[in-house]
Amino acid sequence: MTGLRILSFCIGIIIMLPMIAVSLWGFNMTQWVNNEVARNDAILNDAAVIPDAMPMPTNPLDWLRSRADLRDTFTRDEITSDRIVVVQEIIDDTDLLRPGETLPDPVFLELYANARAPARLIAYCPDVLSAIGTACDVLRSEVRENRNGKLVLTGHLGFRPVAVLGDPSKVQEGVLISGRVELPYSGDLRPANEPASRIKAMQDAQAICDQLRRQYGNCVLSRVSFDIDELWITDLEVLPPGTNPQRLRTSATFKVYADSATLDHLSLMEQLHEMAKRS
Amino acid sequence: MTNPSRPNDFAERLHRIEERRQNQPPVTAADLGITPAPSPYDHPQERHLIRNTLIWMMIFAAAGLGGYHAINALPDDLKSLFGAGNGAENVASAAIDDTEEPVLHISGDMSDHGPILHSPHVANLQSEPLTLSDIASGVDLPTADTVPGAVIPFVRNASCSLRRPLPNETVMNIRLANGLLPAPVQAFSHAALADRLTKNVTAITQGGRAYDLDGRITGDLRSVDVFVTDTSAPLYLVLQNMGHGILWNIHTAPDVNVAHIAIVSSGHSGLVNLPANTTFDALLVSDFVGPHEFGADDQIRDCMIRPWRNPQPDWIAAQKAANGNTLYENQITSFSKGHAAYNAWYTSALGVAANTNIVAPRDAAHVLLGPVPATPITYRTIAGQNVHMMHTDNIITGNATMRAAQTEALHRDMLLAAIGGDIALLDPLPMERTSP
Repeated sequence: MTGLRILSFCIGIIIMLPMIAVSLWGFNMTQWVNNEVARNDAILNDAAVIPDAMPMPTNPLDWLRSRADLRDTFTRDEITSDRIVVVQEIIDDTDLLRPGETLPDPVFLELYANARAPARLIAYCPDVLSAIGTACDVLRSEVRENRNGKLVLTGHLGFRPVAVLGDPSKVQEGVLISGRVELPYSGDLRPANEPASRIKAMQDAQAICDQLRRQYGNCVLSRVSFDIDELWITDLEVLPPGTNPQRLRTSATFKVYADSATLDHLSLMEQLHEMAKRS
Repeated sequence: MTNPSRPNDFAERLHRIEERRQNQPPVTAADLGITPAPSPYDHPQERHLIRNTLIWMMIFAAAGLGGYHAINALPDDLKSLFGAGNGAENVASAAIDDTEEPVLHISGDMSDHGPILHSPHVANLQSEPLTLSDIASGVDLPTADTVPGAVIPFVRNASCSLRRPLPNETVMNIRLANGLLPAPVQAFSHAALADRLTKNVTAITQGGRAYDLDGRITGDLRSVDVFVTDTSAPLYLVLQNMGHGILWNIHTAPDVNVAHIAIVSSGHSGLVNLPANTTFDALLVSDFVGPHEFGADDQIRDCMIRPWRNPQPDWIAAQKAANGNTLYENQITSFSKGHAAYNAWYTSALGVAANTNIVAPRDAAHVLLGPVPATPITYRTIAGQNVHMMHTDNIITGNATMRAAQTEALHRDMLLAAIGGDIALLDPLPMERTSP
């Protein structure tokens, strides 16, 4: 009987541990908030003594989320929302229509744009498949109207990577570190919004990731964003006829699972900028 | 070969064995010289009366406390179903009437924001409720399958003003949240349809969910019977509500002169059984006032036509606010300030106060304007009668099945037109690389 009681007690303690940890975290958070409030009051009131800043307590259950992030980032068998290419399309209302169709009542235009966006945006998947993916899907599409009254369609294309990502399980005491860098371009004009430019940008980004993988054992190209800048008419006047007015501003986000003693966000950013310059 | 007599022999033998057993006394353990071991359960049971009483008291106290707090946590409307609450429900309120409006001593349900008077209760200008049978005979209440006559759309007022009452006209007000009778009419705009379908589509394209087939706008109206019996002067009726559209069914007693009806509504509303020679005009709140947000109607301003009701002391929200509940204090403040702003517009538009001759429960099925008739007036059914409706893009009538089919078709056709074909295009198939 005594053994059974001890066993029950131990099981109870194990069940209670997460609750105890969260309660302690809550207590620490309250202390931290109180300290921050006191600090702000002291700063605002020009107090003689300003309390030292306390580090924000870490949620003891964060590691659960980190595990899920790690899995979604490094799995090569699935398309996940942790690896995306963000594409944009800027079009006139009439571009939504098929041959023979007429524009609907203006109140239905937003519906039309949202309903037709996925079919339009999946047309960018061949670029992704050419550069970095073995499979591609539209995970999310959004529509808004810009200042010029044009429709801006934004698509999040998830992809299954071609590249080897490395093995994060070999890293001891690892954390997932991410860094974003804008990809450089040559000449005065940004690259035109065309398939060849997009494919090259994704390949350049993957090349940077490959360098990181060689250094740290793993790297995931987690996001490539293509934002479109439209040239002004005054700009186009001095350019050769037929110049594509839509130019690409491309950024890439990389994730590395590394020992925090070896790599942190700032040092990753520094490396990324150096690598991007050389690319 | 088998012996046919053997089964009978066997049966006889069984019978003899059974007889012999029945004639013998049962063999006990003592007969066999065995002393049974004492059972651990053979001890006399201790009653532990005090301990058990304490345990049961704690169980009942915990259950009672839990139940009490659970019922208190329910919304007031639901609470009234259980007969729980602070005693304000289902009974007359003894709250002091310190406002311009009579406090309705109702036998219906009291909600946070005023009485809910289901049929056969009749809301009226007095403080006592009436019953439908006292007011009308030959009652034929509308159902979801009642089929009205033709729909005659009318144009809403383009400016936030109403026809001003003449000096000889008596203004009478009805101001509700919602009607409580079914109405076989649906009305909704293209904008509302587009908004609903856009939400359904973005649930797929942004939320990754399946298409919500039940996500439809119906624009269901409710109906309210308005019994008018005041013959003292030509009447100017102001029919107002803040919820879904209402189909106001007008029943007039002999010699009643309804000169004009003004509608102020948050939903597409209409009139049925309109008396001959009665003129009408209407304001749709959303034409002039944006969707309500907390504090948005607090300021007195031009064109604030959202018809807030003046909070009354017997409202549950008013009583909770008086007890210091901040949530309800905010609600009552919203009602008070909203009503003050509405009253300012109303007074400037019609030349009388918004609470003149008013009947203002939260929800009602029937309303009487005037004295109780000496003989009940004949009830005028909606069936087959022409309906005057605020103009909007889609007005659907017919029985419930027909309306549901038409509503579904409107949604389906518009959705497919927007997609440009197959619904599968909302979620195209993933693409795979064909070469290594």
